[in-house]
Amino acid sequence: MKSLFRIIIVSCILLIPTISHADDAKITKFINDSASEIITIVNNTSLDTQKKSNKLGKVINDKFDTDWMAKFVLGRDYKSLSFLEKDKYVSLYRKYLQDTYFPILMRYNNQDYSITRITKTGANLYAIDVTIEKSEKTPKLSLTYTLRDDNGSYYLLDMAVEGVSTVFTQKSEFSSVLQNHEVDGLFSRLQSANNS
Amino acid sequence: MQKIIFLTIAILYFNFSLSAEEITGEESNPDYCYQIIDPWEPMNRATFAFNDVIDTALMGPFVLVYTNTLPQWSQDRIHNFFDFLRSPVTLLNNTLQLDGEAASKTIGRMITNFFLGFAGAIDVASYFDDMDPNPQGFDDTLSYYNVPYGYYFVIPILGPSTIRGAPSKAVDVMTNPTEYALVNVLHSAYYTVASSAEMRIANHDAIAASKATSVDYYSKIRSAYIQYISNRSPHCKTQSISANDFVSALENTDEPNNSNPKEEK
Repeated sequence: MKSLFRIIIVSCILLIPTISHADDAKITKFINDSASEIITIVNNTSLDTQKKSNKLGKVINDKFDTDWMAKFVLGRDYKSLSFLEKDKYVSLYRKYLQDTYFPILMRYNNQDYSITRITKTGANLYAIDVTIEKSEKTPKLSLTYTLRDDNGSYYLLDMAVEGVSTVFTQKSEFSSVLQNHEVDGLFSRLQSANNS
Repeated sequence: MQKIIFLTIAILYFNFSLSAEEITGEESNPDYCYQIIDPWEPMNRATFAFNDVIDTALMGPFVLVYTNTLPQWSQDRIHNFFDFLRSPVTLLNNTLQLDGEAASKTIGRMITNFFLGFAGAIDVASYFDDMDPNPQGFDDTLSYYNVPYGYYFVIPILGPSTIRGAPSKAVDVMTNPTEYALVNVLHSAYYTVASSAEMRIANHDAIAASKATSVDYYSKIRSAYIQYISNRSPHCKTQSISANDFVSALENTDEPNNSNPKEEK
């Protein structure tokens, strides 16, 4: 009985890092695949800027959990929107997010990158630290992605550049607009930011 | 005895599979980390608008001429040279923070870049392992000693800062030997303006992109600045989405949204 107990304990202990390493490998693959998809589009010389923007927009929409991000950014105010307003807001937000990330992604200039750390921050949440080496035009950058594991499917919730988070910055920005201009003001500003 | 050895190995093994944070327990951030305290918002917004006009009217055309006339290679050399001139400030602050390792790296960078990098024009040091630049100012030193950054404050011409950061900028200028080497006050002023302009040029693309994709540029810069200085503080843990944030955002959905393809996830 005692040996059985020992075997169970040892197996449990040995299993903990195994699960963790398996997760790390899957997450690393997800990040590498996503990066490779983005790099292929950015480096494709046969595509003009508009086509690159459309293709990268699709990748952003697939890899990021844009619905969750839209809700998080608006916080409690999201609940007070009508059904139609919610629909309009989420679609405006998606375009806004694509426009925010497009110039950042287009600055990629074939620098080497490396995943430096994967940390489990919640039940299904991970923080992934990535370092992008410096190039002639850009300094060395540290990025932190927040990733959600939805039963083996991964979705990004945030990208922070040098500690500056996209969603926390947008949350502060949107809340300020809502305080001074209410929902219509936010919609019209999102609309004009998307058209710029 | 066997049991003790078995248990010790088991505990050690279990502990090594956890992060240091999980072993020591999560320490909470000091209250001020990532907090935006902006009681002077109307005044700050006015200063910010003024700075934006100056930036658009003067810096915009200047950056355009600078980037179109000077090749990237020359721009990099100028950028490295100004970085090199700021290194004594970094060294002083490494010392004030009693960080011997960082101080020796800064000295190593200064010597390498001076002798091998043509007086700092080429950043040779960063080609060596673990010798990347890590500029430090007096604001970083105060942050190291856990001095809260206080109210957000926009400085005319210079831009976003805080009650802690604004006087720190003055200390950085006063403790930079380059300012003293240029004994003539006018020369010193030229250096300060040229150095600030160079920093602005280096970040021109990022600033332009950030401005274009903004619904409230003032709030965006304010939030980004506070996150940036909090993240640099050794006392503030990295801001990340917590499990609570995640759940509370999900709870904001109280109606099905059929037109939304991602709801199926």
